[in-house]
This record gives sequence, C-alpha cells and structure tokens, in this order.
Amino acid sequence: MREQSRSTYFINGPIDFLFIGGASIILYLLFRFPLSNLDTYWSFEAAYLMSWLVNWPHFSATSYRLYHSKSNILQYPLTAIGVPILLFFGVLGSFLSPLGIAPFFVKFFTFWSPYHYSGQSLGISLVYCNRAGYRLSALERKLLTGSIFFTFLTATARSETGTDPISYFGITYPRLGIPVGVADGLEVCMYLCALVFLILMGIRTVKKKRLPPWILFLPAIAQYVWFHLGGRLPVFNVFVPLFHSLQYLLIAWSVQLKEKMDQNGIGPSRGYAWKESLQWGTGNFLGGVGLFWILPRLGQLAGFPLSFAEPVLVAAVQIHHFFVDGVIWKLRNPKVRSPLLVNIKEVYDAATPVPA
Amino acid sequence: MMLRLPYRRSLPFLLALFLISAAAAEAYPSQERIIFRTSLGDLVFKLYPETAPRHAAQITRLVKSGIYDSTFIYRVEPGFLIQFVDHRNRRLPLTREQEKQVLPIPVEISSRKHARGILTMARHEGDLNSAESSFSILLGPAPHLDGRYTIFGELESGWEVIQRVLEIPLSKSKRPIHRIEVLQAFSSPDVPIRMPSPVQDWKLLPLDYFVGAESQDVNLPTSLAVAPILILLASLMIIFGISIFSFSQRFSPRQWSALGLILTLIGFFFFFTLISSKSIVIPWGSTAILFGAVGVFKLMSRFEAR
Repeated sequence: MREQSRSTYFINGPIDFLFIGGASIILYLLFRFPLSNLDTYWSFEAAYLMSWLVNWPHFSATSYRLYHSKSNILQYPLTAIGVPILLFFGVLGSFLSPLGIAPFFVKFFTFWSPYHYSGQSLGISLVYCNRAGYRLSALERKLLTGSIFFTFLTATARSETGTDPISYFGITYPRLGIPVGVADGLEVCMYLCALVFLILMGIRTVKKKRLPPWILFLPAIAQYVWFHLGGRLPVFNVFVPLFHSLQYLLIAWSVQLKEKMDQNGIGPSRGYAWKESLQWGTGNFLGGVGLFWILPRLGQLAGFPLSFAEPVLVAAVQIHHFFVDGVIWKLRNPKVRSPLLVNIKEVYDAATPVPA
Repeated sequence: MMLRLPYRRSLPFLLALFLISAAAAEAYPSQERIIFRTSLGDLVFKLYPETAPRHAAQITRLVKSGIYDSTFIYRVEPGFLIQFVDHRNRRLPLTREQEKQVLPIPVEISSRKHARGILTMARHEGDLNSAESSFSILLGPAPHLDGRYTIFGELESGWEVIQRVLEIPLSKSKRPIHRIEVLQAFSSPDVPIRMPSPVQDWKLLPLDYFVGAESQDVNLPTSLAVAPILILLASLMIIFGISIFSFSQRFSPRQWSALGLILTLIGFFFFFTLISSKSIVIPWGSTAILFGAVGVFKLMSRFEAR
C-alpha cells in the first residue's frame, strides 16, 4: 500500500526523466534530425570524454558498494573473491592464447553486456513501480520483461547474422551466422510483448481508473531506442553506455547518501549531501580510472599491445561488474531502511518527513 | 579604418588556423588526390578521370562520404595485389545517407595495362558492371586482368607502407593476421585538421584473426590450436577441485549452489568457444548458442542468491 508521503522519484520528475532514459531519447532525436550531418569523429571524442566522468565511475560504484566493508564481502564471498579469481584465469588464458581464447572471451562479454543492460532496465522499471505503489501482475511483469529483453536479443541476433568477423577495440572475433529468420522472429516477439503489455495497461487503467506511473515505461522505451533505433546511428550509438551508466548512478548515488546517513546516524543537511557526494564521486572517478586506464596499461607492461590488453581486461572488469551488480542490491544491513525508496530531499532537508 | 576589438582579438587565432590548414595541405599534393590514412601510414592515389571518369567520380564521392573509413586490407598476395574489403564489411556500420551513395559502377575498359602500382576495381565474377567499392593495388604486372577489369588510378606514394603491409604474416586464405585499417580517407584539397595517427610497427596493430572453422588455415598444427583451451579447462578443474576439498566444511548451501553455477559457466564458456567457431556451418548451432547464453546469464543472476 503506498504511503502518501513517499515520492515516486529519486529527485523529481524532470531530473529522473533525464537520467533514467529521457536524455538518450532527446539526443537520439537530435542526431536523427537536426544534427544528422554531425561528424562522427566529434561524437566519438565526446563519448570518450564522458566515459571518464560517467561510464567508468559507474563500474567503480558497484565495486565500492560490495568491497567497502568486510561484512559485505562475507555476505557474498564467492562474488567478492571467487569471481575475480575465475576472471583472472580468463584473462590469463586470453593472454596465453590470443588467437584461441581471447576472441571468445571478448565475444562472451559482448553477449552478456546487453543482457545486463536489459536486466537493469527491467529492475529500474520495477523499482519505480514499487515506489509508486503500483503492483504489476505476473503476466504484466512477464510481458514487460519480454519487451525489454527481446530488444537485446533482436539486436544481438541481427548483428550475428553475417559470417564475416567483427571487432571489439583491437580484437576480432567470428560472427555466429544466425539465420536471418531467427532475428526476424525475435523482433516480432518484441513488438508482440510490448503491444500486449500496453493493451493490458490500458485495460487496467480503464478498470481501476488509475494511470500507471509514466516512468514505468521509460526504461523500456529507452532500451528500444538504444538497441533498435540507435543501432544504425553510429554517432548516437557510442553514447549508449553513457546513458546506461547515468541510470545506475542516479540510483546508486541516492542510495549511498541515504545508507550512510542511516548507518552513521547523521542528520539530513545540505552540507552532508554535498560532502558525501563529492567524496563518493571522487572515489568512483579514481576507481574508474584505475579499472579502465591503469589496468589495461599494466597489461601493456606485460608485453601486450594496448589494442589487445585493453579489450581483454575491459571484458574481465565488466563481467565482474555483472556479477557484483547482481548481489549488491540484496545486501542486508539492519541499520538501513529501504534505501531504494529514498527521495533525495530526505538527505538534505531536515523538514522532509521520512516515510515509515 | 580601425578594426573593431573582437576582430583584432580573433586575428591571431584565425592566423593560426590558416597556418595549420596550410601546413596540413602542404603535406599533400595540391592537385586532387585520394589519400587513405591507414594504420601503417598514408597511401596517396592519383585517379584517371580521363580513362575511367565514372570510377574516378564515384570513388571520390565514396571517399568524401566517409565510406572507406574503417575498411581494411583483407587480402595480400605478394607479387600480385593488396585488396581493400568492400563497404559492407567495414568495422563501422554505414549510415543511411552513406548507403545511398554506394552504386554499381559500369566497367570502363581502356588501353592501360595492369602493372605495378595500378588501382584496379574489384567486381563479381561474371558481372562486368557490379563494381561498388572494393579495389586492389597491384604489386606487379597482371596481364590476365587487361580488358576485363577497370583501371581507375595508380598509387602515387606510400610504397613504404606497402612494404610494412607485406611484412605481416598471412593466413592461408591470404589475410593479414593483424588488421590494417583505413583510419580516414579524404581527398587532398579537403585535408582534415585533426587525423588519427598511424603506427610504424605492424606488431602494434590489433589481431585480425581467430582460430576456429579455419583452424587449418593458420600454419599451426591443429592440436596446438585446441591445446590452450584444454590446458585452461584442466587447470580450472584442478583448482576448483582442490578449493572445494579444502573448504567444503565451511560452505553453506547457498555457496554450494554458486559453485555449481561457476562450473556451469566454465563449461558453457568452453562450449561457446568450441562451437562458435563452427557455427557458421551449423546454422541452428548458432541459434542454440545464442539462447544457451541467455539461459546461462539468467542462471548467473541467481549467483549466491538467498
């Protein structure tokens, strides 16, 4: 049952809209129409710059959330310790067999990455449903899941329909040669799931006389733009990881402020919000640089060209991120109450009542 | 008349911009030429509009549309030719506007001979008018091509780059095992101010080959192609076996199930590696790989779940 004082948004409607996928939709429309002649070179440069500020810190934020306390590591020891060891062997195998193992290690990661995007999009939709007190039925949830995951499956299948090799940074790997009919079938499933979901939402709206929260649809629409519409627009496509990271950082930042406040018994204030945000942001920036700039160059020191070491180590870091992201939102801390329901006002405004 | 202050302040900047442009342009011929900045250096092509006007015009149009950017050299036959891959197989996907620029070019046979340095247009065997974007640089005389393929230009400079290309080991299908990509293609009056930098050493180029369906193609014994995978698999099994033996008393049921997922992941990865390379000849194997991967990712989302 929704409590009247709980906000649907982490910050407010417009800002949540921008972070959760609205900015990507706006940028796509800009690139598709008024800026369609923009030189690809400048968008690549801009996307690379934003990697330092947004993409890389988002990876660091997940690692920080798991590793910053011993109790977290002890709750999930296999994720914290076992998975890095496993990935170390994947990297070692790739370095020892650059033609035999490395291409498939990287390819495995390129398959897993859009699946991870889909999982995040679905998770965010469900978080907002929960915040708005809007409960999806099992069928509605399955249809929403289908419409999100089929975007990734369709895009992946289409990119694998050729027989010529494709590249990720400096490593080339084979395509699977999936029949075109499979990709077409997956696309039909995607549209079907979306259509039936919308119909069910419409019926429910009429019956219950309550509109669903608009932000429930945003991650799915953004996902469609990223993987379906944006896939043929290279100048936009390079920004997709940025928007995925923005989604994550909004939620992770809000949760971080709330959790630390509750854990340490700190009262809400603007000073606390600024200080903690700065510390967290700086730490994640440095962590991101360590993972994505320093680590590949360590691979270079081992005698491999950066064009080879970088994709292998980036793949390992990201696979680790997929595991960590799966567990960190299940961490149990008795001192922290429902962090995913926080509104940022609770953190900086002492006058804001905290929902029970 | 005194210049207004804003214009005076911008003068040094404008002068610098002019000098940079002039310096960039001076590095290239003043007459129109096509330049391919590859990852090993620049190739400067002179076109023959007098004997192949349609090819010259179309190639120039394709260059200016950026269609050759991220294509690469996919075939090297020492003494014969070096061939660039066509636009469909370049690394970056074409935009819709770029796709519209690619049109078949009718053959233009002239009295010119296929000799060293000549640019000759590739086409489908049996269809004289099917040339689109792929072309070759001849490394020696090829009289058997005379009267059958369009000669549309010559390599004016860049033979040191060709020499570096020829040093790269080739697969049995004559493909360089390191990728030599066209980083940027442009025509000389429109020299970009900022361009990517090539490397001098081909060993720094990314690997452009994988061992798989063509494992016989590389000069490696087949057993060596499979051995690294088996060694890695065996090592992982030993380490996990010893870990489970050593720590089994301390594992909770949740952690036992996670260990099972790790073994599943390792097994699937090797399945993925061994089958992916063959899936081109097993169409439904590729589909099975795709859905199998999704199933494994779904399982991994339950890793250490309560």
